[in-house]
Amino acid sequence: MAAYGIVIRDLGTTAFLQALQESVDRETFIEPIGEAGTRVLKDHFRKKNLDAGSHKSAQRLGAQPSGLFEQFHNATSHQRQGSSSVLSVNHPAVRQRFEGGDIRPVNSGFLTIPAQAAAYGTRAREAGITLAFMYAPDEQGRWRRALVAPSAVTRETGKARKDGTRRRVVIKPSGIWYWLVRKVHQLADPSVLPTRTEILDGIKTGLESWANRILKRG
Amino acid sequence: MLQKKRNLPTTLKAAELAKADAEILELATFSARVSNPAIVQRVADLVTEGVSPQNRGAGEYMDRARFREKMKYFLGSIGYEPETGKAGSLQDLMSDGRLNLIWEMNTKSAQGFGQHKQATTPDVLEAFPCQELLRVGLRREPRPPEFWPTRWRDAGGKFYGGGRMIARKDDAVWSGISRFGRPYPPFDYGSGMGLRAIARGEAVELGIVEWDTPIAPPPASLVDSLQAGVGALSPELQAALLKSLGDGFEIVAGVLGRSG
Repeated sequence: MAAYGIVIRDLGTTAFLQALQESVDRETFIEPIGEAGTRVLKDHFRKKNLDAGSHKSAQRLGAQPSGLFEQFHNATSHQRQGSSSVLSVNHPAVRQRFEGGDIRPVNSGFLTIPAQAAAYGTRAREAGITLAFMYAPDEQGRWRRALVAPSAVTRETGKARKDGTRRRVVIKPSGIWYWLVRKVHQLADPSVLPTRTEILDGIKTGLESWANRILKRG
Repeated sequence: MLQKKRNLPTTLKAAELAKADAEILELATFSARVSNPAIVQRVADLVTEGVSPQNRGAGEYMDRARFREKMKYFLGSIGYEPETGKAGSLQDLMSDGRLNLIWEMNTKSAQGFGQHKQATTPDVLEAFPCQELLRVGLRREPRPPEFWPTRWRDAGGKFYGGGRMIARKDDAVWSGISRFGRPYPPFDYGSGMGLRAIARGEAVELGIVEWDTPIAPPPASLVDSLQAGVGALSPELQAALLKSLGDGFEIVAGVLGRSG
């Protein structure tokens, strides 16, 4: 069964890490190396999340960003395994984004691609509005399979008028909610993670001054 | 953490829960005003899937949208109906807003607790004795810019180099800035604030600690002591726990359970 998180076991080594691993205090350094490594990952995810370029889909639709890199940040951890530290990002989307590949539907015939802000982050089954399958024109005039809401969902608001009626506001709009596709090919995006060099350099930056004091004591 | 939690149904409102002892909140996978243990258990099961996505097949992983879908199906199957006049509101367990809140709070709490445990082992405290409060996530409607610095200051926090909010990991400010009294994120509902470890060398340069300043590991929480039973808690904490749960619970021979 595929694992959908990412685990980083073998970062390689540097002269600095080798000195830590060969010292009499090597047990002391295992967890701090893990913490330093996760700090590099979390810094990377935080910067990606605060970068406007990471939210293109949401911006295009005028929707609330999903905060995917914030989720990666929160899902990052380290574990001690024997005499080394393993870094992991326990999130189902991180591997797909990093490695790319085809995304195909599992429990239905089509993937649903949001076509408007109201659909972003919402599954078609829980959209809370009647959706009909039909062919609809996209912005280029091509007819494509789609799920369309023929009517908006509204509710009454405000004080009653003299005739007893109340103003109605749209809470779920009509129109094209999803485009239906058989598959999506996602390009690999190595920028999802920092490089191994960045992680190793970050570990050294985080630990160097403290670790050198211990190494000198030993 | 989720596997150790007990599902303790409660009818306290969110505001009342926030006032409860932080350790009591650690004990429960809580969702305000939910007294049906089957619902609470279902939430715990689904959130556990979400924070541990390893070894899940395609289409099987849990995320916020799938959580909403499965919870709505489950609630429908048990005949759940919201109180009169509450349909669609945060008081409606089947509303997107309520389910999103349950998902966000429980997953982020589990992750925050896990990272807190890793950050406070003796060796990590030696290397990274301090941490910084900073923004991790964007919000479409963020709190005012002065909100967190004010809360930080009111909790006794100090500022370093251009307004950075940094403190020792054993400083009471971390619990003080939290709406829930916990020293780890999330610090408030919908908050995008998180933590960044500060290395010993930088902390010394900033004058927060010395090279040999020890940082106390946090005391063992209720979650850690569950296997010892509730009887290991002080009488005061047992009383506070029973009070927060309301009617219908009792502690007998060190074991918490329903009355009768």
